[in-house]
Amino acid sequence: MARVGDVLDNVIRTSLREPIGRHEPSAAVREALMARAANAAQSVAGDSVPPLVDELREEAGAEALSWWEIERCRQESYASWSNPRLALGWLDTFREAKRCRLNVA
Amino acid sequence: MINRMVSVPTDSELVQRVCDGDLSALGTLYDRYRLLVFHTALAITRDRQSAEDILQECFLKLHTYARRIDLSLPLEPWLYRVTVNLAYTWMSRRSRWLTSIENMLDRLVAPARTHTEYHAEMSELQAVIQQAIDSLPPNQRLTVILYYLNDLSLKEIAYVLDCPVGTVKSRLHYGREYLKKRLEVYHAPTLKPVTQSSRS
Repeated sequence: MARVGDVLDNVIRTSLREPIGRHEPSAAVREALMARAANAAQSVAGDSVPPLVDELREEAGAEALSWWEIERCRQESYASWSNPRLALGWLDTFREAKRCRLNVA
Repeated sequence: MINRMVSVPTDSELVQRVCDGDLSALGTLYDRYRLLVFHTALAITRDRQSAEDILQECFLKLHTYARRIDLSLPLEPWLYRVTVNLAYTWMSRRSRWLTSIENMLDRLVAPARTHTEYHAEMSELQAVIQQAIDSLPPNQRLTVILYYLNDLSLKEIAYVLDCPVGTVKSRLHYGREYLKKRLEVYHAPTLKPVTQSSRS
């Protein structure tokens, strides 16, 4: 015969695990993590222009877009993400992009 | 016996690769432990977005502090420790009024009962336990979650929470007693021992 304590433990364990186990993090988390880690790695390496910033600069040159226009496009692209807070990493990139632009100018 | 042609890199090998600047190793570690971190954070915060934020921050810390990780020790306890610290910060920042509003909203938007009586009862029971765990003091709550959700031993919990094993035992005891009382109020028959004969 099972002890009352064991039953209680099982009830708590099952009740905690079942609802939690059904959830998975969204793919955007991994994407944002890798982007932020890549940015951080570039900064540590002393490269003041991360790859994403390079990309923005190229885009600006080729399309003759203003930085604000590029930023707006980027913001629209991540506005559809399920978690807007994940966009903080991107915002860092934009700030860096603007800083680089000032340096170039 | 199956001969494995491709060797799976160990955690310490992957952490070493992260130290060497290999971002794909960070991705592999993320894929390996994302559910462990996410589920723990979700159990503590009960908020999907916060749990995802904690998940991201946890692996960002792994990337930032990889050089400080002792490669001779298992990685899991380190991840638990970071997750719990991040979740603890989240709990501390959460103000009282916000908690009451969220609890009220949780009750209002709680999942509807499922069709069968069994599932309806289980869902309600789960909700009762969740609410009881939510109302535990933070230290007891973390201990209960690490013990029941993550199956950590008392010694492992003591490492994660950075406190003596005796303190973990005490927190678990009081947390468990509180949950028992709440469950007894809810439905005493639930806690009756189940025997093989009574199942059939």
